Amino acid sequence: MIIPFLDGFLTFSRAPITWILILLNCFLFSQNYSLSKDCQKEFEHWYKSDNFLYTQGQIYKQFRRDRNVAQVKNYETLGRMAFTDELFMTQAPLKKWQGDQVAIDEWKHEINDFMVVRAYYPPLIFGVSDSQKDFFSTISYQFYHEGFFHLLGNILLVLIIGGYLERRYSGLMVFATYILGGSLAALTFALTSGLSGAPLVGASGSLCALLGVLVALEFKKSTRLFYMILPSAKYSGFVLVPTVYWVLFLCMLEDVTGLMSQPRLLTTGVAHSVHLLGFAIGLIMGSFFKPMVVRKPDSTLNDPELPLDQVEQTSL
Amino acid sequence: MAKDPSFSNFNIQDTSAVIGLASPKDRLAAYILDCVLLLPVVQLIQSPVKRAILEAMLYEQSDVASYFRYFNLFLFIVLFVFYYTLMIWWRGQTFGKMFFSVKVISYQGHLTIYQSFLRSLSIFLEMLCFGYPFLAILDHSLRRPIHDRVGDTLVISLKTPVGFPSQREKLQSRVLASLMSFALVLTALSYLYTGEFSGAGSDLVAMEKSCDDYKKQSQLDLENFVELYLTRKIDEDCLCSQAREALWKEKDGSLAQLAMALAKKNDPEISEKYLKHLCEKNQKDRLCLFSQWLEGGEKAKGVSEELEMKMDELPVFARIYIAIDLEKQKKYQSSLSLINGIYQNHEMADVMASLAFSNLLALLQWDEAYWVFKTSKDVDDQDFLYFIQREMKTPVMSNQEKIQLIELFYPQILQQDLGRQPASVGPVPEEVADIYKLLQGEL
Repeated sequence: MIIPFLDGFLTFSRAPITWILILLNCFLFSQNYSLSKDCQKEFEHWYKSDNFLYTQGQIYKQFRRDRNVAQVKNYETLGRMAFTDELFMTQAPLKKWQGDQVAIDEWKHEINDFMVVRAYYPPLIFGVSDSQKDFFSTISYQFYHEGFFHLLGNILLVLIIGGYLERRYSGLMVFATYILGGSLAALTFALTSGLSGAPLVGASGSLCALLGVLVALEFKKSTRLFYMILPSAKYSGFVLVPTVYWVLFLCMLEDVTGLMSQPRLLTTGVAHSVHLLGFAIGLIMGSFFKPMVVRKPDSTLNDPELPLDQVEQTSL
Repeated sequence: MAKDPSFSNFNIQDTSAVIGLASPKDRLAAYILDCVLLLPVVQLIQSPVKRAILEAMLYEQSDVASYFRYFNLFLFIVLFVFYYTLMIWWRGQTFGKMFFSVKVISYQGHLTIYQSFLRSLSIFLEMLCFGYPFLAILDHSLRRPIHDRVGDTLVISLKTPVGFPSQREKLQSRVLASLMSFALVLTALSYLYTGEFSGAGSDLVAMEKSCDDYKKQSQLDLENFVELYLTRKIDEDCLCSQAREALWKEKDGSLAQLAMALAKKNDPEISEKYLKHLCEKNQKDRLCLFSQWLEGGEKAKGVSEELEMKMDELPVFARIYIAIDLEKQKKYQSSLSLINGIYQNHEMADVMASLAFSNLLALLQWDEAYWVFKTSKDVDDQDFLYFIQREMKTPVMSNQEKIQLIELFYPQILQQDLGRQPASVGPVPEEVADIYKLLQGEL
């Protein structure tokens, strides 16, 4: 396990803006958690029904009349893909289709129930999707998370990266990067790749923008990573690595791999392109901020809580 | 493989004091770190292949998908071996080893690329054995597991010398090795038990296999699949997938509806809907009439006149279905004539033969039944037993006739009765012998 640690987990007094952003994330999550879980439980019924998915896949094939879709023979997968097509979900139940009429009637009946549940699904209310790409959504999607671990992973990294940038540079810069970087990433994604019915949620776009700013500001300056190779003090500790190397290797490489291994018609559930766009926007924003901000030197920080001098560090 | 040098010409104690052997923990940590660093790069290189696999799966090109899967595995092996070979040959260290100050040196002379390659390949093969051979690191006096001996190398620490393995470490390695062996044996046994190795697995696995096998036979049509289902050679899911495909292709219209109704019989509501659809266009359709017969349980009413008239037009499976029902109603002659009108070389030949055999016995045409019993591979002791057991429950024949029947089919029972076992003929089934004794006792 290797994770960026930088200045560690900073307290509210040292990184208030970052903490406010994190608390907003937690608030939105806690308010909608049970509703989201209930909806997901309901969705399971449709997502796991092979017959429903097969019928939906067959109808979707007729609906799309696309050469790529026509080649797909795995109708269950096609049925799953159809869930993310907003146009299909709203128009298909109203039309007549050829094929197994009993199954089609059953599907129409089921899809109406599905749409009722879908209307209450929080990610569709807060997320950016085909049917919802207004200004409010491009902001709110950055604060809503689908699951606990999704939230935990993102807020920990926001605390480490955002906290570091806030403490060393400026809280306003962190706020602007989080909000603008995340919104611009979603907007650019919507304009270039096109959105789907599957909502885009999570702070990862904003987090990648923060990483972009970090790289722009501290390109080859070494920052701290925490590693734990074996569960023993001897095989875990801190290491100093130039920022650009670990950001590209630990964070961005995975998104490049994810994007390259993604088939034309399928999505993996992770918006790799939004991450990469967020990072690119962060780089641009970082270059913009660079002449405006000054890095506070370690000596001026006067932070007794920080264990910088107490831990054994290795430099690559 | 190079042999370990003998202690006579190589003072290993002195060497250890100077260079120090790398500790197993350092080596493990270096290996884990290498994996952490190498895997993202390998995944990046593999990503176009992974994409091709996913696309092939999406287009149901299983052959292409498996080809790419093998290619991906090959790529992984090549990259892994390439990284280790190059780094060990160049620096004596991988990135992980550099971090944990561990170095690979040649046991004798200069480290060549060939040695490095052999060592790397060996590490990979050891990984395939669940890392089991790595345990030798704890046991060997110079901490040289197989890959070090194959490559004729030694791994040293650039930090504090660790020294030779203690007795405690050796004991630990043996306990670990025993536990791993036990786990491996248990895993192998569980696989054998569940049949995943032997292929003799559960009915479900066998059923799925046969379904795929039948699907590959292009000459089989939907009618054949219904026959296979009725003879329990395939399950509901298999029939459902075939019928569903036909329905979506708008092929075999009413037959596909009927097949779907049969396949969905566990969900009566859906099954009924398919039957309703079947009769929607034409109430006089042969399959509609048959479905009505099926639905209404015509056992009480018998075959309707309309259905009787369309009997020749009915598919084979429907006629056999009716013949079975007629036989159950003790209308043996009608059942027999219905079967006789069906072409013999069919998927349901075994059912037909059993049914014909049963009808012939019931009609007291024993000679013909005996001929069927002796010549047909589809009729066996079980069919005879089934008939005789049914006769015991709902008798049509007298006990004397039953005894004669058993003696005709199993003449050896007379000798067996006298305590002799004829060598040329097989034994009498136990259940038949019991019934025979029971009948004799009653007489």
